[in-house]
Amino acid sequence: MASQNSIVLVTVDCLRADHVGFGGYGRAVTPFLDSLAGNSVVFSDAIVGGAPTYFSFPAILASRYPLGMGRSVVGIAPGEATLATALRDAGFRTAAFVAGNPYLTKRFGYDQGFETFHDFLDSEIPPGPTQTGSENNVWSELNRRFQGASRRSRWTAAAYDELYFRYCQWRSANDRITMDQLRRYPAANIVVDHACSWLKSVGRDRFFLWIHLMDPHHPYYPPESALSSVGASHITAQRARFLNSFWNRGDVGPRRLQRYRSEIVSLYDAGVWWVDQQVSGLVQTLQDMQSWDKTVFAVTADHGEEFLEHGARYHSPMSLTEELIHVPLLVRAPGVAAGRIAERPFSLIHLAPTLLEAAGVRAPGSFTGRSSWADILTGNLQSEPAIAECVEACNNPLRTGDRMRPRLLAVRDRDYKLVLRFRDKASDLYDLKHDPGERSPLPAGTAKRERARLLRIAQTHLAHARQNRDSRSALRARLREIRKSIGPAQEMIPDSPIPG
Amino acid sequence: MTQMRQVQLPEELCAAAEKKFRKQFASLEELLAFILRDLSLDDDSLQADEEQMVEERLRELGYI
Repeated sequence: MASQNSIVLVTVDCLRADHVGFGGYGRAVTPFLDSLAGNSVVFSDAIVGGAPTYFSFPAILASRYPLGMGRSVVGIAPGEATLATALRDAGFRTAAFVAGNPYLTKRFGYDQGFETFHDFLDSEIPPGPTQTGSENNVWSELNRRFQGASRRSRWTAAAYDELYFRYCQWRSANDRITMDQLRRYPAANIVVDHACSWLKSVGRDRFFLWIHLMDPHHPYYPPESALSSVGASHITAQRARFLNSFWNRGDVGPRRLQRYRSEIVSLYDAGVWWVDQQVSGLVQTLQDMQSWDKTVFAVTADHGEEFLEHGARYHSPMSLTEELIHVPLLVRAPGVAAGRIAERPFSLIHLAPTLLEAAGVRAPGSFTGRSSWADILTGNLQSEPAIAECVEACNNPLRTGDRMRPRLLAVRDRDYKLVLRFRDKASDLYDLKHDPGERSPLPAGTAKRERARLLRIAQTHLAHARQNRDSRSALRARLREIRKSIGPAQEMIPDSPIPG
Repeated sequence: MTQMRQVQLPEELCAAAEKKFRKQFASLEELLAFILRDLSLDDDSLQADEEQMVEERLRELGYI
Protein backbone atom coordinates (compact mmCIF):
# COMPACT_ATOMS: atom_id res chain seq x y z
CA MET A 1 0.00 0.00 0.00
CA ALA A 2 1.47 3.34 -1.00
CA SER A 3 2.25 5.52 2.00
CA GLN A 4 1.02 9.09 2.22
CA ASN A 5 3.10 9.87 5.26
CA SER A 6 5.23 12.92 5.83
CA ILE A 7 8.26 12.66 8.12
CA VAL A 8 9.36 14.76 11.08
CA LEU A 9 12.70 13.96 12.70
CA VAL A 10 13.61 15.71 15.93
CA THR A 11 17.16 15.18 17.13
CA VAL A 12 18.23 16.51 20.51
CA ASP A 13 21.90 17.12 21.20
CA CYS A 14 23.32 15.40 24.28
CA LEU A 15 20.06 13.70 25.29
CA ARG A 16 20.69 10.57 27.32
CA ALA A 17 18.35 7.60 27.21
CA ASP A 18 18.26 7.45 31.01
CA HIS A 19 17.21 11.10 31.35
CA VAL A 20 13.79 10.77 29.77
CA GLY A 21 10.74 9.51 31.66
CA PHE A 22 9.96 6.80 29.12
CA GLY A 23 13.55 5.62 29.58
CA GLY A 24 13.03 5.18 33.30
CA TYR A 25 14.27 8.52 34.64
CA GLY A 26 12.78 9.35 38.03
CA ARG A 27 12.59 13.10 37.53
CA ALA A 28 9.59 14.40 35.56
CA VAL A 29 11.50 16.17 32.80
CA THR A 30 9.66 14.82 29.73
CA PRO A 31 5.93 14.73 30.50
CA PHE A 32 4.88 15.29 26.90
CA LEU A 33 7.33 12.82 25.35
CA ASP A 34 6.29 10.26 27.97
CA SER A 35 2.66 10.59 26.88
CA LEU A 36 3.72 10.45 23.23
CA ALA A 37 5.74 7.30 23.98
CA GLY A 38 2.50 5.64 25.06
CA ASN A 39 1.32 5.97 21.46
CA SER A 40 4.63 5.22 19.80
CA VAL A 41 7.09 2.47 19.19
CA VAL A 42 9.84 2.98 21.76
CA PHE A 43 13.28 1.60 21.09
CA SER A 44 14.58 1.23 24.62
CA ASP A 45 18.05 0.17 23.45
CA ALA A 46 18.83 2.67 20.67
CA ILE A 47 22.56 3.04 20.05
CA VAL A 48 24.28 5.79 18.06
CA GLY A 49 26.64 4.99 15.19
CA GLY A 50 29.29 7.25 16.69
CA ALA A 51 29.87 10.06 19.15
CA PRO A 52 30.05 13.03 19.41
CA THR A 53 27.97 14.95 16.87
CA TYR A 54 30.41 14.88 13.96
CA PHE A 55 30.75 11.11 14.31
CA SER A 56 27.06 10.50 14.95
CA PHE A 57 25.18 12.28 12.22
CA PRO A 58 26.48 10.46 9.15
CA ALA A 59 24.78 7.39 10.64
CA ILE A 60 21.52 9.24 11.36
CA LEU A 61 21.10 11.06 8.05
CA ALA A 62 23.15 9.03 5.56
CA SER A 63 22.98 5.55 7.14
CA ARG A 64 26.78 5.40 7.07
CA TYR A 65 29.19 4.64 9.88
CA PRO A 66 31.33 7.70 10.67
CA LEU A 67 34.54 6.10 9.38
CA GLY A 68 32.82 4.37 6.47
CA MET A 69 34.54 6.73 4.05
CA GLY A 70 37.79 6.89 5.96
CA ARG A 71 39.05 9.44 8.41
CA SER A 72 39.41 12.20 5.85
CA VAL A 73 35.69 12.75 5.40
CA VAL A 74 34.06 15.05 7.93
CA GLY A 75 30.29 15.27 7.71
CA ILE A 76 28.32 14.39 4.59
CA ALA A 77 30.33 14.05 1.36
CA PRO A 78 29.27 16.18 -1.63
CA GLY A 79 26.68 14.22 -3.58
CA GLU A 80 26.27 11.61 -0.86
CA ALA A 81 22.74 10.25 -0.61
CA THR A 82 20.91 11.13 2.59
CA LEU A 83 17.44 10.87 4.07
CA ALA A 84 16.80 14.41 2.78
CA THR A 85 18.06 13.87 -0.77
CA ALA A 86 16.01 10.67 -1.11
CA LEU A 87 12.83 12.37 0.07
CA ARG A 88 13.47 15.50 -1.98
CA ASP A 89 13.96 13.35 -5.08
CA ALA A 90 10.66 11.64 -4.28
CA GLY A 91 8.88 14.99 -4.39
CA PHE A 92 8.82 15.88 -0.69
CA ARG A 93 9.19 19.45 0.52
CA THR A 94 12.24 19.43 2.78
CA ALA A 95 13.48 21.73 5.51
CA ALA A 96 16.00 21.66 8.33
CA PHE A 97 16.22 23.92 11.37
CA VAL A 98 19.43 23.35 13.31
CA ALA A 99 20.00 25.24 16.53
CA GLY A 100 23.46 26.59 15.88
CA ASN A 101 25.63 23.48 16.05
CA PRO A 102 28.69 24.41 13.94
CA TYR A 103 29.18 20.79 12.85
CA LEU A 104 25.70 20.53 11.34
CA THR A 105 26.02 23.15 8.64
CA LYS A 106 26.42 23.61 4.89
CA ARG A 107 30.13 23.57 5.59
CA PHE A 108 29.85 19.85 6.33
CA GLY A 109 27.25 19.01 3.71
CA TYR A 110 24.22 18.81 5.97
CA ASP A 111 22.19 21.12 3.76
CA GLN A 112 22.15 18.59 0.93
CA GLY A 113 18.58 17.67 0.04
CA PHE A 114 16.96 20.52 1.98
CA GLU A 115 15.18 23.25 0.04
CA THR A 116 15.21 25.27 3.27
CA PHE A 117 18.20 25.01 5.59
CA HIS A 118 18.47 27.31 8.58
CA ASP A 119 21.44 26.67 10.88
CA PHE A 120 20.92 29.76 13.08
CA LEU A 121 24.64 30.50 13.02
CA ASP A 122 23.81 34.02 11.99
CA SER A 123 21.49 34.45 14.95
CA GLU A 124 22.14 37.35 17.24
CA ILE A 125 23.49 35.52 20.25
CA PRO A 126 24.47 38.03 22.93
CA PRO A 127 28.24 38.31 23.41
CA GLY A 128 29.52 35.82 25.95
CA PRO A 129 30.28 36.70 29.54
CA THR A 130 33.25 39.02 29.75
CA GLN A 131 36.38 36.94 30.03
CA THR A 132 38.35 38.68 32.71
CA GLY A 133 41.91 39.01 31.54
CA SER A 134 41.10 38.73 27.86
CA GLU A 135 41.24 42.47 27.34
CA ASN A 136 44.27 43.65 25.45
CA ASN A 137 45.96 45.79 28.05
CA VAL A 138 48.91 45.89 30.42
CA TRP A 139 47.00 43.91 33.08
CA SER A 140 46.20 41.07 30.74
CA GLU A 141 49.84 40.98 29.59
CA LEU A 142 50.92 40.85 33.24
CA ASN A 143 48.42 38.08 33.84
CA ARG A 144 49.79 36.08 30.93
CA ARG A 145 53.30 36.40 32.32
CA PHE A 146 52.18 35.29 35.76
CA GLN A 147 50.41 32.34 34.21
CA GLY A 148 53.49 31.39 32.23
CA ALA A 149 55.72 31.66 35.29
CA SER A 150 53.31 29.56 37.36
CA ARG A 151 53.81 26.62 35.00
CA ARG A 152 57.26 25.93 36.44
CA SER A 153 55.76 23.52 38.93
CA ARG A 154 52.53 21.63 39.43
CA TRP A 155 51.87 23.35 42.73
CA THR A 156 52.34 26.92 41.52
CA ALA A 157 50.21 26.12 38.47
CA ALA A 158 47.40 24.76 40.68
CA ALA A 159 47.62 27.76 43.00
CA TYR A 160 47.54 30.19 40.09
CA ASP A 161 44.55 28.45 38.44
CA GLU A 162 42.58 28.45 41.67
CA LEU A 163 43.32 32.09 42.45
CA TYR A 164 42.57 33.15 38.90
CA PHE A 165 39.24 31.34 38.91
CA ARG A 166 38.25 32.95 42.20
CA TYR A 167 39.35 36.35 40.92
CA CYS A 168 37.18 35.96 37.79
CA GLN A 169 34.20 35.00 39.91
CA TRP A 170 34.77 37.99 42.20
CA ARG A 171 35.02 40.35 39.21
CA SER A 172 31.73 39.15 37.76
CA ALA A 173 29.85 38.87 41.05
CA ASN A 174 27.94 42.11 40.57
CA ASP A 175 27.09 41.65 36.88
CA ARG A 176 23.39 41.74 36.14
CA ILE A 177 22.89 38.91 33.72
CA THR A 178 20.07 36.67 32.55
CA MET A 179 19.98 33.11 31.30
CA ASP A 180 19.04 34.40 27.85
CA GLN A 181 22.21 36.50 27.76
CA LEU A 182 24.37 33.58 28.82
CA ARG A 183 22.88 30.98 26.48
CA ARG A 184 25.11 30.25 23.48
CA TYR A 185 22.54 28.55 21.26
CA PRO A 186 19.05 29.53 20.16
CA ALA A 187 16.57 27.99 22.56
CA ALA A 188 14.16 25.32 21.33
CA ASN A 189 11.19 27.68 21.22
CA ILE A 190 12.97 29.88 18.64
CA VAL A 191 13.89 26.92 16.44
CA VAL A 192 10.47 25.30 16.68
CA ASP A 193 8.73 28.61 15.90
CA HIS A 194 10.66 28.84 12.64
CA ALA A 195 9.88 25.22 11.84
CA CYS A 196 6.18 25.73 12.48
CA SER A 197 6.12 28.76 10.18
CA TRP A 198 7.65 26.64 7.46
CA LEU A 199 5.17 23.81 8.09
CA LYS A 200 2.27 26.21 7.63
CA SER A 201 3.73 27.22 4.27
CA VAL A 202 3.81 23.73 2.75
CA GLY A 203 0.08 23.37 2.49
CA ARG A 204 -0.96 19.87 1.54
CA ASP A 205 2.44 18.83 0.17
CA ARG A 206 4.21 15.90 1.73
CA PHE A 207 7.21 17.07 3.70
CA PHE A 208 10.34 16.05 5.56
CA LEU A 209 11.21 18.29 8.46
CA TRP A 210 14.39 17.87 10.50
CA ILE A 211 14.80 19.87 13.72
CA HIS A 212 17.96 19.72 15.81
CA LEU A 213 17.77 21.17 19.30
CA MET A 214 20.68 22.12 21.55
CA ASP A 215 19.08 22.94 24.89
CA PRO A 216 20.69 20.10 26.91
CA HIS A 217 24.12 20.96 25.42
CA HIS A 218 26.68 22.75 27.59
CA PRO A 219 27.05 25.48 28.67
CA TYR A 220 23.84 24.76 30.48
CA TYR A 221 21.64 27.87 30.56
CA PRO A 222 17.99 26.82 30.45
CA PRO A 223 15.10 29.29 30.76
CA GLU A 224 14.18 30.15 34.34
CA SER A 225 10.70 28.64 33.92
CA ALA A 226 12.32 25.33 32.99
CA LEU A 227 14.39 25.37 36.18
CA SER A 228 11.26 25.91 38.23
CA SER A 229 9.58 22.98 36.53
CA VAL A 230 12.37 20.59 37.51
CA GLY A 231 12.49 21.87 41.08
CA ALA A 232 15.67 23.91 40.71
CA SER A 233 14.35 27.45 40.86
CA HIS A 234 17.05 28.36 43.39
CA ILE A 235 19.63 28.37 40.59
CA THR A 236 19.92 31.97 39.45
CA ALA A 237 21.70 33.11 36.31
CA GLN A 238 24.68 34.13 38.46
CA ARG A 239 24.77 30.72 40.09
CA ALA A 240 24.42 29.01 36.69
CA ARG A 241 27.38 30.98 35.37
CA PHE A 242 29.49 29.98 38.36
CA LEU A 243 28.44 26.33 38.00
CA ASN A 244 29.24 26.23 34.28
CA SER A 245 32.57 27.97 34.84
CA PHE A 246 33.57 25.57 37.61
CA TRP A 247 32.36 22.52 35.66
CA ASN A 248 34.49 23.61 32.72
CA ARG A 249 37.73 23.82 34.68
CA GLY A 250 40.45 21.62 33.31
CA ASP A 251 42.54 21.90 36.50
CA VAL A 252 39.99 20.34 38.82
CA GLY A 253 39.48 16.62 39.34
CA PRO A 254 36.32 14.56 39.75
CA ARG A 255 36.39 14.75 43.56
CA ARG A 256 35.93 18.53 43.59
CA LEU A 257 33.61 18.51 40.58
CA GLN A 258 31.33 16.01 42.32
CA ARG A 259 30.26 18.73 44.75
CA TYR A 260 28.41 20.56 41.97
CA ARG A 261 27.23 17.57 39.98
CA SER A 262 23.66 17.66 41.27
CA GLU A 263 23.15 21.28 40.29
CA ILE A 264 24.77 20.76 36.89
CA VAL A 265 22.41 17.85 36.26
CA SER A 266 19.50 20.09 37.25
CA LEU A 267 20.57 22.63 34.65
CA TYR A 268 20.83 19.86 32.06
CA ASP A 269 17.45 18.39 33.03
CA ALA A 270 15.84 21.82 32.74
CA GLY A 271 17.14 22.01 29.15
CA VAL A 272 15.55 18.63 28.47
CA TRP A 273 12.28 19.83 29.98
CA TRP A 274 12.32 22.88 27.72
CA VAL A 275 12.80 20.66 24.66
CA ASP A 276 9.89 18.49 25.82
CA GLN A 277 7.62 21.49 26.00
CA GLN A 278 8.57 22.77 22.56
CA VAL A 279 8.08 19.37 20.98
CA SER A 280 4.59 19.48 22.45
CA GLY A 281 4.02 22.76 20.61
CA LEU A 282 5.35 21.28 17.38
CA VAL A 283 2.92 18.37 17.62
CA GLN A 284 0.10 20.80 18.33
CA THR A 285 0.92 22.65 15.12
CA LEU A 286 0.83 19.40 13.15
CA GLN A 287 -2.51 18.58 14.71
CA ASP A 288 -3.91 22.03 13.91
CA MET A 289 -2.78 21.58 10.30
CA GLN A 290 -4.52 18.19 10.28
CA SER A 291 -1.19 16.67 9.29
CA TRP A 292 -0.56 14.71 12.48
CA ASP A 293 -2.44 11.65 11.28
CA LYS A 294 -0.33 11.57 8.13
CA THR A 295 3.07 12.14 9.76
CA VAL A 296 5.69 9.72 11.00
CA PHE A 297 7.26 11.48 13.97
CA ALA A 298 10.63 10.38 15.32
CA VAL A 299 12.56 11.75 18.29
CA THR A 300 16.11 10.74 19.11
CA ALA A 301 19.54 12.12 19.97
CA ASP A 302 23.01 12.19 18.45
CA HIS A 303 24.69 11.13 21.70
CA GLY A 304 24.38 11.48 25.44
CA GLU A 305 26.36 13.37 28.07
CA GLU A 306 28.71 12.38 30.85
CA PHE A 307 28.37 13.58 34.44
CA LEU A 308 31.42 11.94 36.05
CA GLU A 309 30.02 8.39 35.91
CA HIS A 310 33.46 7.36 34.68
CA GLY A 311 35.24 10.54 35.71
CA ALA A 312 34.47 12.49 32.54
CA ARG A 313 32.30 15.47 31.65
CA TYR A 314 30.48 16.47 28.47
CA HIS A 315 30.83 14.18 25.44
CA SER A 316 34.42 13.95 24.39
CA PRO A 317 35.51 11.13 22.04
CA MET A 318 37.62 9.52 24.75
CA SER A 319 35.17 6.70 25.42
CA LEU A 320 32.00 5.04 24.19
CA THR A 321 30.27 4.61 27.53
CA GLU A 322 26.58 3.85 27.79
CA GLU A 323 25.90 7.40 28.94
CA LEU A 324 27.28 8.52 25.55
CA ILE A 325 26.02 5.95 23.09
CA HIS A 326 22.64 4.92 24.55
CA VAL A 327 20.03 7.43 23.39
CA PRO A 328 16.25 7.63 23.39
CA LEU A 329 14.31 6.79 20.25
CA LEU A 330 10.59 6.83 19.71
CA VAL A 331 8.75 6.58 16.43
CA ARG A 332 5.12 7.49 16.31
CA ALA A 333 3.46 6.42 13.07
CA PRO A 334 -0.16 6.56 11.97
CA GLY A 335 -1.85 3.21 12.15
CA VAL A 336 1.02 1.49 13.96
CA ALA A 337 0.16 -0.04 17.29
CA ALA A 338 2.22 1.36 20.12
CA GLY A 339 4.53 -1.09 21.75
CA ARG A 340 7.77 -1.15 23.58
CA ILE A 341 10.54 -3.00 21.82
CA ALA A 342 12.70 -3.77 24.74
CA GLU A 343 16.09 -5.32 25.19
CA ARG A 344 17.02 -5.38 21.54
CA PRO A 345 19.82 -3.06 20.45
CA PHE A 346 18.77 -0.84 17.56
CA SER A 347 21.49 1.05 15.75
CA LEU A 348 20.62 4.51 14.46
CA ILE A 349 22.27 3.38 11.20
CA HIS A 350 18.89 1.77 10.50
CA LEU A 351 16.77 4.83 11.29
CA ALA A 352 16.96 6.58 7.90
CA PRO A 353 16.05 3.49 5.84
CA THR A 354 13.25 2.73 8.31
CA LEU A 355 11.79 6.22 7.97
CA LEU A 356 12.09 6.03 4.19
CA GLU A 357 10.13 2.81 4.05
CA ALA A 358 7.52 4.37 6.35
CA ALA A 359 7.15 7.08 3.70
CA GLY A 360 7.04 4.56 0.86
CA VAL A 361 10.38 5.70 -0.57
CA ARG A 362 13.14 3.36 -1.65
CA ALA A 363 16.37 3.70 0.31
CA PRO A 364 19.50 4.67 -1.67
CA GLY A 365 21.85 1.83 -2.47
CA SER A 366 24.67 3.55 -0.58
CA PHE A 367 22.86 3.18 2.76
CA THR A 368 24.56 0.72 5.07
CA GLY A 369 21.57 0.21 7.35
CA ARG A 370 18.39 -1.71 6.66
CA SER A 371 14.79 -0.79 7.19
CA SER A 372 13.08 -2.23 10.24
CA TRP A 373 9.68 -0.92 9.19
CA ALA A 374 8.19 -4.30 8.43
CA ASP A 375 9.45 -5.60 11.79
CA ILE A 376 7.86 -2.62 13.50
CA LEU A 377 4.53 -3.30 11.82
CA THR A 378 4.59 -6.93 12.93
CA GLY A 379 5.97 -6.08 16.36
CA ASN A 380 8.84 -8.48 15.86
CA LEU A 381 12.08 -6.49 15.71
CA GLN A 382 15.06 -8.62 14.81
CA SER A 383 17.96 -8.21 17.16
CA GLU A 384 21.52 -7.70 16.11
CA PRO A 385 24.43 -6.03 17.87
CA ALA A 386 24.94 -2.33 17.29
CA ILE A 387 28.28 -0.73 16.52
CA ALA A 388 29.47 2.68 17.66
CA GLU A 389 32.82 4.16 16.70
CA CYS A 390 34.88 7.31 16.78
CA VAL A 391 38.46 8.42 16.36
CA GLU A 392 39.86 8.43 19.88
CA ALA A 393 40.69 11.90 21.23
CA CYS A 394 39.59 13.59 17.99
CA ASN A 395 38.30 16.79 19.57
CA ASN A 396 38.60 18.80 16.38
CA PRO A 397 37.98 16.76 13.22
CA LEU A 398 39.28 19.62 11.08
CA ARG A 399 42.78 19.03 12.42
CA THR A 400 44.56 16.31 10.47
CA GLY A 401 46.55 15.29 13.53
CA ASP A 402 43.32 14.73 15.44
CA ARG A 403 41.67 12.71 12.68
CA MET A 404 44.57 10.41 11.87
CA ARG A 405 44.48 8.49 15.13
CA PRO A 406 43.36 5.00 16.06
CA ARG A 407 39.67 4.51 16.59
CA LEU A 408 37.51 3.45 19.48
CA LEU A 409 34.99 0.79 18.58
CA ALA A 410 32.15 -0.62 20.65
CA VAL A 411 30.15 -3.69 19.69
CA ARG A 412 27.01 -3.52 21.77
CA ASP A 413 24.84 -6.54 22.23
CA ARG A 414 21.88 -6.85 24.55
CA ASP A 415 23.86 -8.43 27.39
CA TYR A 416 27.49 -7.79 26.46
CA LYS A 417 29.54 -4.88 25.21
CA LEU A 418 32.99 -5.17 23.72
CA VAL A 419 35.06 -2.00 23.60
CA LEU A 420 38.17 -2.01 21.43
CA ARG A 421 40.78 0.64 22.18
CA PHE A 422 43.12 0.38 19.24
CA ARG A 423 45.48 3.09 20.52
CA ASP A 424 46.33 0.95 23.53
CA LYS A 425 45.79 -2.31 21.63
CA ALA A 426 43.40 -3.22 24.42
CA SER A 427 39.86 -4.48 24.67
CA ASP A 428 37.30 -4.71 27.46
CA LEU A 429 34.24 -6.91 27.62
CA TYR A 430 31.39 -5.84 29.90
CA ASP A 431 28.52 -7.95 31.18
CA LEU A 432 25.77 -5.33 30.95
CA LYS A 433 23.21 -7.53 32.63
CA HIS A 434 25.19 -7.72 35.87
CA ASP A 435 27.30 -4.60 35.42
CA PRO A 436 25.11 -2.02 33.62
CA GLY A 437 27.36 0.79 34.84
CA GLU A 438 30.40 -0.69 33.10
CA ARG A 439 32.44 -0.62 36.30
CA SER A 440 34.36 -3.87 35.89
CA PRO A 441 35.41 -5.39 32.61
CA LEU A 442 35.31 -9.17 32.66
CA PRO A 443 38.71 -10.74 33.36
CA ALA A 444 40.72 -11.69 30.30
CA GLY A 445 40.18 -15.32 29.45
CA THR A 446 36.56 -15.38 30.57
CA ALA A 447 33.44 -15.35 28.40
CA LYS A 448 35.55 -16.49 25.46
CA ARG A 449 32.60 -17.39 23.30
CA GLU A 450 30.95 -14.01 23.76
CA ARG A 451 34.25 -12.24 23.26
CA ALA A 452 34.93 -14.06 20.01
CA ARG A 453 31.40 -13.48 18.72
CA LEU A 454 31.66 -9.74 19.20
CA LEU A 455 35.21 -9.68 17.83
CA ARG A 456 33.97 -11.30 14.64
CA ILE A 457 31.36 -8.59 14.29
CA ALA A 458 34.09 -5.98 14.71
CA GLN A 459 36.21 -7.80 12.15
CA THR A 460 33.38 -7.81 9.62
CA HIS A 461 32.68 -4.14 10.29
CA LEU A 462 36.30 -3.13 9.69
CA ALA A 463 36.58 -5.22 6.53
CA HIS A 464 33.30 -3.88 5.18
CA ALA A 465 34.42 -0.29 5.74
CA ARG A 466 37.65 -0.95 3.85
CA GLN A 467 36.07 -2.82 0.96
CA ASN A 468 33.12 -0.52 0.38
CA ARG A 469 34.80 2.82 0.64
CA ASP A 470 33.43 5.20 -1.97
CA SER A 471 36.69 6.87 -2.97
CA ARG A 472 35.05 9.37 -5.33
CA SER A 473 32.78 10.69 -2.59
CA ALA A 474 35.68 10.71 -0.17
CA LEU A 475 37.76 12.66 -2.70
CA ARG A 476 34.99 15.21 -3.17
CA ALA A 477 34.69 15.61 0.59
CA ARG A 478 38.45 16.04 0.94
CA LEU A 479 38.53 18.67 -1.82
CA ARG A 480 35.73 20.51 -0.04
CA GLU A 481 37.84 20.60 3.12
CA ILE A 482 40.88 21.81 1.19
CA ARG A 483 38.87 24.60 -0.47
CA LYS A 484 37.56 25.67 2.91
CA SER A 485 40.99 25.59 4.52
CA ILE A 486 42.65 27.76 1.88
CA GLY A 487 39.66 29.92 0.96
CA PRO A 488 39.55 33.63 1.72
CA ALA A 489 37.45 33.20 4.88
CA GLN A 490 38.72 30.26 6.88
CA GLU A 491 36.16 29.17 9.36
CA MET A 492 37.11 28.56 12.94
CA ILE A 493 35.33 25.63 14.48
CA PRO A 494 35.61 25.22 18.23
CA ASP A 495 37.11 22.13 19.73
CA SER A 496 34.90 19.62 21.39
CA PRO A 497 34.70 19.98 25.15
CA ILE A 498 37.82 19.28 27.15
CA PRO A 499 38.45 15.62 27.75
CA GLY A 500 37.23 14.33 31.06
CA MET B 1 67.32 16.27 -3.56
CA THR B 2 63.58 15.84 -4.24
CA GLN B 3 62.91 14.53 -7.71
CA MET B 4 60.56 16.74 -9.70
CA ARG B 5 58.04 15.84 -12.37
CA GLN B 6 56.81 18.01 -15.19
CA VAL B 7 53.08 18.02 -15.91
CA GLN B 8 51.02 19.85 -18.50
CA LEU B 9 47.85 21.70 -17.60
CA PRO B 10 45.58 24.08 -19.54
CA GLU B 11 46.95 27.62 -19.31
CA GLU B 12 43.60 29.23 -18.47
CA LEU B 13 43.10 26.81 -15.57
CA CYS B 14 46.54 27.60 -14.17
CA ALA B 15 46.02 31.35 -14.53
CA ALA B 16 42.64 31.16 -12.79
CA ALA B 17 44.06 29.16 -9.87
CA GLU B 18 47.06 31.49 -9.52
CA LYS B 19 44.77 34.49 -9.43
CA LYS B 20 42.33 32.95 -6.95
CA PHE B 21 44.93 31.77 -4.47
CA ARG B 22 47.73 34.32 -4.95
CA LYS B 23 47.38 35.50 -1.34
CA GLN B 24 47.79 32.03 0.11
CA PHE B 25 50.43 30.53 -2.20
CA ALA B 26 53.52 32.03 -3.80
CA SER B 27 53.18 29.90 -6.92
CA LEU B 28 50.95 27.46 -8.71
CA GLU B 29 53.44 24.70 -7.89
CA GLU B 30 53.11 25.47 -4.19
CA LEU B 31 49.30 25.32 -4.40
CA LEU B 32 49.30 22.01 -6.27
CA ALA B 33 51.87 20.49 -3.92
CA PHE B 34 49.69 21.49 -0.95
CA ILE B 35 46.61 19.90 -2.48
CA LEU B 36 48.34 16.70 -3.50
CA ARG B 37 50.03 16.36 -0.12
CA ASP B 38 46.66 16.68 1.61
CA LEU B 39 44.95 14.23 -0.73
CA SER B 40 47.73 11.70 -0.20
CA LEU B 41 46.98 11.48 3.51
CA ASP B 42 45.04 8.38 4.26
CA ASP B 43 44.33 6.05 7.07
CA ASP B 44 45.14 2.78 5.31
CA SER B 45 47.89 1.91 7.78
CA LEU B 46 45.64 2.70 10.76
CA GLN B 47 42.89 0.57 9.24
CA ALA B 48 45.31 -2.30 8.63
CA ASP B 49 46.62 -2.11 12.23
CA GLU B 50 43.08 -2.24 13.57
CA GLU B 51 42.13 -5.25 11.49
CA GLN B 52 45.31 -6.99 12.52
CA MET B 53 44.64 -6.41 16.21
CA VAL B 54 41.19 -7.95 15.95
CA GLU B 55 42.59 -10.93 14.10
CA GLU B 56 45.26 -11.42 16.79
CA ARG B 57 42.60 -11.33 19.52
CA LEU B 58 40.61 -14.00 17.71
CA ARG B 59 43.76 -16.07 17.31
CA GLU B 60 44.53 -15.77 21.05
CA LEU B 61 41.07 -17.07 21.78
CA GLY B 62 41.67 -20.00 19.49
CA TYR B 63 39.06 -19.03 16.95
CA ILE B 64 41.48 -18.73 14.07
